[in-house]
Amino acid sequence: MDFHGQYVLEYILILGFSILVSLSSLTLVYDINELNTIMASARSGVLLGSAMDGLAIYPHEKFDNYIKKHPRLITGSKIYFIRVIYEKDGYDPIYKKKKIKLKIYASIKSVYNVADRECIGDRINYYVRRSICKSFNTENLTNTYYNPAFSDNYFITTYDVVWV
Amino acid sequence: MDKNGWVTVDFMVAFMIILLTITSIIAIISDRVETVNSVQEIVEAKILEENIVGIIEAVYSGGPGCSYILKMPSKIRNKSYSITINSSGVYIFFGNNIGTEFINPIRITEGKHSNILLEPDKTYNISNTKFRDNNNEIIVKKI
Repeated sequence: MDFHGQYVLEYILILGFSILVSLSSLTLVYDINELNTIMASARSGVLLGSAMDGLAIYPHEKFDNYIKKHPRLITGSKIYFIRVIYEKDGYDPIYKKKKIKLKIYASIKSVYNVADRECIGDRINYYVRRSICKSFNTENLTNTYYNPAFSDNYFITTYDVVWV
Repeated sequence: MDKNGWVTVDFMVAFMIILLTITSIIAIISDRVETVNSVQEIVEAKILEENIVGIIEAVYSGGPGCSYILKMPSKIRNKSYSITINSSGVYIFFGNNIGTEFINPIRITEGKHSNILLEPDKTYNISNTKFRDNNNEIIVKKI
């Protein structure tokens, strides 16, 4: 008689039950994983955006605009990233995706002008959306400003950065 | 009976879970690595720019006769770049980006032009010479 490869009935039942539970929660796990990837990409975007703003290195067209209208932004400033949160905002029937809005909290000490802060916030939001689109390879679905950004099942927009 | 070449069901389940976890993490990691590379590129560009500003100001402070030999790096993290200097500051261009670093208003020329282009992988002599009315000027010459 073959004594190997044998399992008790209880074990097989538990294993079968575990597999059933795992399969039924697969959608939920996939959804959570997608949200997790969105948030991780958002943090990467904040990192890049705040580095560019902090070191005052900008794309050509933005640089020209800042030098005329926001000269303060041509010199660097220290930006502290605090946190990023998401708010679920229902289902969008046009894009047939669930909608979420990202809100970024950051702090800056040396820029006081509201318009300048808005420019810095816009750049951070731009890199957040770009990073999400890159992670999900959805750059071809959106516009130049990556607004809105798309993941597999989500349609993502951003609030103005909250300066605290 | 074949005692070799078989694995337990526990192992297979554990292996599948690990595999799933790793694939979901890879997307996040690759995105983060790309971000870190971009940030490093920006930081290196900024450091180069600030070094040049520091050298110009040091040479100016040193008075007439002071000079510095500046060797430009060939690339910034495998990307080509160019630097322009004029009396208001140092401008770096790489990819689609521009950065600037202001300098104290001083007269900088390369002989004729006041907009000086510093090219990658070239060497320059930055020197301080006496200009008219007891003022000094910085002259940048390609060696």
